[in-house]
Amino acid sequence: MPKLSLFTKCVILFAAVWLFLEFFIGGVWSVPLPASVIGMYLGLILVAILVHVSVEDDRFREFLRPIKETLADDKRRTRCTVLFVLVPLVMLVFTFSKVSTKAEAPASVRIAHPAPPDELTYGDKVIGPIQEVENPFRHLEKDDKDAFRAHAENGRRVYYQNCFYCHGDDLDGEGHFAHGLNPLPANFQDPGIIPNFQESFFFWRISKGGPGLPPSATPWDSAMPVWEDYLTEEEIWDVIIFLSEYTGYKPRTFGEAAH
Amino acid sequence: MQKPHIRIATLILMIVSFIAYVAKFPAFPIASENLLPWSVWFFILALANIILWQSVIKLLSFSLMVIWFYAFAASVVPDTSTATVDLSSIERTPEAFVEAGEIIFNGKGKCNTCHTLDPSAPKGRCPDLSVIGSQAGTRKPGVSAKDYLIESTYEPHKFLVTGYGNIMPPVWKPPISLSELEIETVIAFLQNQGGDVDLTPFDPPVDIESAADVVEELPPLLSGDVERGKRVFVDGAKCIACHAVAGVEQPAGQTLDDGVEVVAAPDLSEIAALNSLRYIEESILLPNALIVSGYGSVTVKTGGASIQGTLVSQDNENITLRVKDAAGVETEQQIRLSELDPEPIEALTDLNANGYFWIQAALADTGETISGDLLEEDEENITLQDGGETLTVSKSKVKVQATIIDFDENVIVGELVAENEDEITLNVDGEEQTIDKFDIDEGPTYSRAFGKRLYVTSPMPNNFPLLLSVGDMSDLLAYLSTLTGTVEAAVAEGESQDEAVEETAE
Amino acid sequence: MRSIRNSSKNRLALLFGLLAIYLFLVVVPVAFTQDATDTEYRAFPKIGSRNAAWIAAQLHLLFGSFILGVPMFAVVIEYVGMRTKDKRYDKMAQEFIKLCMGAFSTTALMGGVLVFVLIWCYPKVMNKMTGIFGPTMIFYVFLFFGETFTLYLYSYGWDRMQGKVSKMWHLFLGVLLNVFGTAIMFVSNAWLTYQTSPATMDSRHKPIPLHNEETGEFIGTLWQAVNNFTWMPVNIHRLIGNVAFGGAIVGAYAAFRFLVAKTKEDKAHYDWMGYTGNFIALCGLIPLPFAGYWLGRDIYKFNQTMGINMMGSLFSWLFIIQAVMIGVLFIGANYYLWSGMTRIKGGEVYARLRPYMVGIIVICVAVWMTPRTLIATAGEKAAMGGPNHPLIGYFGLMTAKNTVVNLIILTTFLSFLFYRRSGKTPAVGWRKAGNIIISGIFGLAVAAIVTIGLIGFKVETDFRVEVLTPVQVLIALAVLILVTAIDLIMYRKAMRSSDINWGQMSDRSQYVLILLAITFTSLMGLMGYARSGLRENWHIFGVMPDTSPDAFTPLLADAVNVIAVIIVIFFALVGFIFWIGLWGDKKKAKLANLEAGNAVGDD
Repeated sequence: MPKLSLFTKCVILFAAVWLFLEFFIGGVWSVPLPASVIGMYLGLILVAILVHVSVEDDRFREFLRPIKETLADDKRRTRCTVLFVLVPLVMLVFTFSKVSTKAEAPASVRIAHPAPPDELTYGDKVIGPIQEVENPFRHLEKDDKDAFRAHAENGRRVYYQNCFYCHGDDLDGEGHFAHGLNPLPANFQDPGIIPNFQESFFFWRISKGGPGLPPSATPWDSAMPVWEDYLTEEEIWDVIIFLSEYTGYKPRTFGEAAH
Repeated sequence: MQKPHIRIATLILMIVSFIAYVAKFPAFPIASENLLPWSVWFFILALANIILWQSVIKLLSFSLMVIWFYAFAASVVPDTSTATVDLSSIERTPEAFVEAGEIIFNGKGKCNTCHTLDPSAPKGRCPDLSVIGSQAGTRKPGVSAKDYLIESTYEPHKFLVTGYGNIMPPVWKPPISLSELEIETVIAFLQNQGGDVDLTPFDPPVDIESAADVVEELPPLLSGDVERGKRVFVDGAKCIACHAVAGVEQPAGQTLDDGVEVVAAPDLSEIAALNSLRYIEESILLPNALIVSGYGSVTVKTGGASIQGTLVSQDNENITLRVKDAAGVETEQQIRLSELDPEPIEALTDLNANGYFWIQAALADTGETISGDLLEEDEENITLQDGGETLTVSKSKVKVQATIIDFDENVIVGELVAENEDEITLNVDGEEQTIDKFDIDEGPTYSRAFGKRLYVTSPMPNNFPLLLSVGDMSDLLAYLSTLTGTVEAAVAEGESQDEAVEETAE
Repeated sequence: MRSIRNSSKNRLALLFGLLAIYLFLVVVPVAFTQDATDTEYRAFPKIGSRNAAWIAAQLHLLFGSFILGVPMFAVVIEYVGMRTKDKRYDKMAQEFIKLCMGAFSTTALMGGVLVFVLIWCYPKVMNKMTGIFGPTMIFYVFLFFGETFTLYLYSYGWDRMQGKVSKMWHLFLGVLLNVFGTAIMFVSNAWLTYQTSPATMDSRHKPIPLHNEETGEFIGTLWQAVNNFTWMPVNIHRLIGNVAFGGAIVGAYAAFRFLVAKTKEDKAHYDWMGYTGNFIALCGLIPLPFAGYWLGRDIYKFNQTMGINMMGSLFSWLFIIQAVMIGVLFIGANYYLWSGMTRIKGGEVYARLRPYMVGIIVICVAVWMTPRTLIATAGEKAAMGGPNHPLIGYFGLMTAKNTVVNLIILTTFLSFLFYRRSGKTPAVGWRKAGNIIISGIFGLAVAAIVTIGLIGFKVETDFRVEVLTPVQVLIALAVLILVTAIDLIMYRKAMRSSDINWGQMSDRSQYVLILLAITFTSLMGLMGYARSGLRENWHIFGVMPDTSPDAFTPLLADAVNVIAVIIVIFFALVGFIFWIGLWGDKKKAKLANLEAGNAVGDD
C-alpha cells in the first residue's frame, strides 16, 4: 500500500469529522445538527489542520507538495484536468442550489430570552422594580414548610388547569398542543431555562404572555396568553413555585449564595 | 509577476470591492446578492493580491481580509434591528413616504422576511415585489393597482397569486401591528417599485381600532369563554353540521367548505356527562383514536363494485352499512363478509391496522395456496385460521404476484419468477411467460397476497388542530364541558369543570 | 547634520501636537458657552450624527489606548533593560515612545473632533453631562497637560538621562506618564459608565439611583456619579485590555518591520521585538476574560434587563462574533508560540504534543463558539425539536463556556511553558520529580475544572456564579502561579543547549502577529459598540431618553460595517505613523553607514 501524503491525510481527517458530525451525531447518537453549526465546526477543523501543517516549514512544504505537483507537474496532467473540470462543476452545483426554488421558511431570528421591562406590573398595578421584586411566598420555604407546600400544591393545580396543554405534563414543553405552536412552548426541564432567570422574570412572562413581548423580541408570535387576565397574582407566584419545585431547578437569585 | 499593471489593477479592484462591500453597493454585474455579492469579489481579489504582491501590499491585502472576515461573519448571523420610523411629522410627499415605507418594509413590517425585491432571487415563500408597482393593476381583474395593494395588505387572504399559499398575516394585526399611516407608506413604497406613487387618502377596508380589541385577547384554555365556544361550535368549526346538540339549531343556509361531507355524528348534548374532558379533547384532535360504534365510515368492494357507507353493525358473518344514494336517500344494506372481494396486499405490514381480517397467500416453496382469518401478525410471520386449523407463515415465504397490462389491454396476472432490465418472467397457471418490458403499458404492480378488509375510519376531519387556534380550542372545550344534558345548570356549576380537569391532570 | 534633521522633525511633531491640544482645550470651553438649551439635536450631514460620533469616539479611544498601552509596555521594557543591562531593551522602549509622539497628537485631534461632533450634534446631552461632570472636565484638562509634559520629557530626555541616577528619574517619569494616562482614562470612563449605569451602590452592592424618579433631576454627589455602578469594572477591564492592546500593536509593528527588513540583524531584532510584544499581549489576554466576567456580572446586578439584553436578547449574536474573535486570538497566540519553537533547536521534543494541543484548543473554541439558540431553518428546527439541540445545546450554557475558557488558558500556558523550556536542560537533580509534579498539577487542575463545570449544570445559578466559577478561575490562576514558580526554580541554572535563532521565523508567524493586532482592535470596536449600545434608546440610561432619529439598535451587520470602517481608518493612520518611523530609520541607517565608511576611511 502506498504511503498516504500529508495532504491526503488531512482531507481524510476533514471528511471523517464531517461524517462524524453529519451522520454519527446527527443520526446515530442524537438529532441532526443545523447546517450553520456543521459549517462552523468544519471551519474550525480546517483552521486546526492549517495550523498544524503550517507551523514548521518542512511540514508545510510537504503539505503543499501535492498541490504544486498537480498544478505544475506534467506527469500529473490528468489529475490537473480532472480538477479543472471538477471545480467549475462544484461551482455550478452551488449556483444551482442558490437559485433553485426553496419553499422553506428562512432561518428566523429568534431572540433567546426577551429582556424584561424595568418595572413589574400586574395589570395596571405596579409591583416594583423587576430587579428587586421577590416571590412573596418564597420566604415560606424556610419559615413555614406546610404553607409553602400548600402554595406549591396550588401552583400544581393552576399548572394542570392552564399550562399543561402546551408545556406538557412533565413540564418538558411537550403538551398536546405543542406540535402546533411556533415558537415551541418553553421546556422547563432544560437546565438553561429556570436557573437563568429571577422569579420576577417568570412573573413578567406569565402575566404578560406573547402580546407583552418587547419590541426587540421579534417576531412576537408567541401564543402564550396574557395570564394576568385570568389568574390572580397569588396564583402566578404559586405556579412559579411549582415550576421550580417540580423540576428541582432554582430560579436565579443575586447574592444569596454567600450567606 | 512580470506585468505590474495587472498587479495594480488587482489592487485597485480589491480596494473598490472592499468599499463596495462596506458601503453596501448593489451587486455587480449580476444584480443579485444571492449569486455574486461583493463579498465574493473581495475575497477572490484579496487572495489574488496576497499571491501577486510582496511585503507592504501583501500585508495590506491580508489586513483588509481580516477586517472583512469579521464584517462578513457578522453579516451571516441573523439579527434584527429595532429601527422604526417616526411618522408623526412626515411630509405628505412621495419621496418622504417611499423612504419611510422602505424602512418599515425591512423593519417593523417584516415584509422582507418573505418577500424579495430582486427579480433574480430564488422563488421565496411569497411573490417577488420588484415590479409590483406596475403589476398591481393587472393581478386581479377589475381591481385598480392601488385597491389591489390596499386589499393585499389589509386582507391578504382575499386574493392569492398562483403558486403561493395563504400564509401572509394581515399586517395591521398583532404581532406586526402596522398603523394606517405606516401601511400607507408601505403602499407608497410598493407603488414606487416600477409604478407611480399615488398618495390619495383612502378608507381602509378594516376598522383597525375596533378590530384590534378583539384580536389582542388570547384566552387561556379552560378559562375559555363558553359563549364564544358555542360560536366556534356553530359558526367557526361548524361542528353543528354533523353533531346535534339539544337546543342548538343549525343556522339556516349554512354551507360547509368543499370536501367535508355532512354525515351523521354522535349527539353531543350530554357529552360532558358521559366522557371526561380528556376524551373530548382527544376526539377533536385525533378523531380516529376511538370511533363511536355506529358512526364509523367504511368502504368495501363486493362483486367489483365499491360501496361506501356508515358501519351500522357487524358480526362474524355480516356487516350492515347505511348507504346514501345519489338522491340522498339512505338505505341499510347487509353484506356477507364472504362476499367481499379480496384486495391485493402490497406489503405484508400493518395488516390489522389496515382492517384486513381474511388473507389468502401462495407459498413460494410448495406453491400451495393457503387462506384463512387473520389471527395474529408480527414483523416476520402471519398466523391464519382456516376452520379449526392454525397456520403460521413467514411473510418472506409468500409468493409475489405481478399484474401487467400490455398495450392491447390484456391483463396478465402471474407469479413473479424473474425480472431483469429488459424482460419480466411470470408463471401464469403453471406456464412461464416472458414479457418484453417494451410491450408493457401499465405495471408491473406487485402484491404479496390478497385479503379482505373492513377499514373503518372516522368521517370527522382530522385537521382541527390546524383549523382551531389555541383560543378557539379552549373556548370550544369550555363550551363542550357545559353539555351535561341540563344546559342551564352546568354553566352555573364551575365545579364539574374542575373535576374534569383533575382527571386530565392525573 | 543628523541632529538638525532630527530636531526639525521633532519640532514639527511638537507643533502639531500643541496645535491639537489647543484645539481640544480652547475650542471645547468656547463651544460650551454657546446657547445649547433649545436645540436638542442637529443632524450631521451624510453619515448621520450617531455614526459621526461613533467613528470619532472609537478612533479617539483606540489612539488613547495606543498612547496608554504602549508607554506601559515601554516602561516595563525599560525596567527590564535596566535590570538585565541589555541595551536592546532600552533601544526598543525608546523606539516605541517615538511612535507614541505621533499617536499622541492624533489622539488629541480625535478627541477634539469628538467634542466638536458631540457639541454640534447632541447639545442637550452635552449640557446635561457638563452640568454633572463639569469639575471633572477641568481636572481632565490638567491631567492632559500633565501627560503631555511628562511624555515630552520622557521622550526627549531619553538619551540625556542615561546616567545611573538620572535613569532612575527617567523611569520615574515613565511611571508618572502612565499614572497620568491611567487617570485620564479613569476620568473619561466615569462619564461614559455614568451614561450606562447612572446609579451608585450601597454597602451590600445594590444600586441606588442618582436621579429623581419623577423629574429626572440629579440628586447625587459628584463622587457618587463618578463612582457609579460599572465604573471600576470598566476601569480594570480597560486597563488590562490596554496592556494587551499595547503588546499586540507592538507585535504588529515588529511584524511589519520584520517583513520589510532586508538584513539578518534587522530580522533578528524585530523577531525578538515581536516576541516580546506578543508575550505582553498574552499576559494581558489571560486575565481579560475574568475582568470581562466581573463587568458582565455587575451589569446584571445593576439592571437585569440590561444584562439579559446583553447576553440573551438584543446583543446575544454579537457575543457569537466576540467568541469567533477570542477564538482567533487564542489560536493565533498559540500558533505564534509554536512557530517560535522552530527557531530553537530542541523544540522538536515538544512538537510531538502539538497535535493534541491543537485538538484541545479547537474543541474548546468550538464549545465556546456554539450559541445557545442555534441558527436553523424551520425544517432543521423541527428536526431538532426546538431551537436548542438536545446534545450540543449544553455547550450554549455559561458553565460549559467558563470551563472551556479555563482549559484554553491552561493549554496556552502549557504552550508557553514548552516554549520556555525548548533547548534548555534543567541543572537540578530533581528534574524528573519536578516534571511529574507539574504534570500532576495540570492533570488535577483539568480534572477539577471539568468536574466543577459538570456540577455547574445542576446547581443554582447564584451558587455557580458566586462560588463555582470563581473557584474554576482560582484553580487556573493557581496552576499558572504554582507551575511558573516550580519551573523558574527548576530552570534557574539550566544549561542552554542551543541559542534562540532570532530571525529564523516563518513569514506566516508574522502575519499571525498582524492578525492578532487587527483582531484585538476589532474586538475593542465590537465591545465598545456593545457597551454603548446596551443603553438602547437612552443617552443616560433610565434618565434621559434618546429621541433623535438614531435612537435604535442597528443590525449587527451594519454595526460591524461601521466598526470595519473605523478599523481601516485606525490602521491607515497607524500604518502611516509606522511608515514615517521607517523613513527616519532609513535615514539613520544611511548616516550610520556613512559614518562607518568614514571611520573605515580614517583607518
